[in-house]
Amino acid sequence: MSWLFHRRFLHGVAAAGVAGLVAAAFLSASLLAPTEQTMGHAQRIVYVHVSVAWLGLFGFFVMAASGAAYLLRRDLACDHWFQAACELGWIGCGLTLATGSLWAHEAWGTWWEWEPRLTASFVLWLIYSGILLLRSGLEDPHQRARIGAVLGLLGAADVPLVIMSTRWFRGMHPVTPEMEPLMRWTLLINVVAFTALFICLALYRRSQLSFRQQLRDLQANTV
Amino acid sequence: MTTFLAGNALVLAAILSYALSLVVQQRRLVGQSMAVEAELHKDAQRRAA
Repeated sequence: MSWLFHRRFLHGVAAAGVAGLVAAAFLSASLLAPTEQTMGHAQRIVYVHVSVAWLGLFGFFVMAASGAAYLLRRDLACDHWFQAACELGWIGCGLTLATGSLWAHEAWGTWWEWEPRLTASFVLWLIYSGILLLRSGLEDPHQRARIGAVLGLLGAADVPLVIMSTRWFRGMHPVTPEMEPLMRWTLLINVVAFTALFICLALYRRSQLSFRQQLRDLQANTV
Repeated sequence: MTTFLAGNALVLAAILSYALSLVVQQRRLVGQSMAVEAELHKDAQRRAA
């Protein structure tokens, strides 16, 4: 029975579970959710758009928490969480802009509009990109972690702006559109599936960064 | 439906590319760790001799 708790087996089960959830999310968005009257099938992109937008924000929550933990404990394990969340959040934020642009083309007749929600989201993506670029240029792991943590905490100020921009400023982006119960369920399935995917990839990346750090320490000691 | 499918394809392609890059990096790291291990083993043998 020990094979049941073997690491590779558990990883395989987790990966298969997440793949199943993502497939269920796609199928529910294509088949389960009713077709919206005004936009038709194009509206279905909202399920994946909201899910990746959540990942873009969730990434920053993890970055702010792990950055603060690093500054308090000076433990590089916190920085590995920070890096993993930053990469995944950057992808989530970029995909939010791309899928949002596809939706905007159908709904507004334009790919991009400099309105508050879109601008705040674009600034968030720029902050993610800046942090990743800066970190990639720093060799010392503790310097990289310190600067990243400070920038992560400062950049987190943009998160409430992204969330509240539709309420605080007048813009074109919908605030909270009314949805039928089946649409809400579909949205929930999508958000859960993408959150599980984020956690799974973040765990893998974190353990990889930890392995890389151990290897570098070993190489530095043997030379 | 095209917009929906294009959006999903984009999301899937981006996430799969990232996951694949992690797998490639992992293989490279495992290769490096084996090389370091072999170096350490050789070093230990040299010292013993």
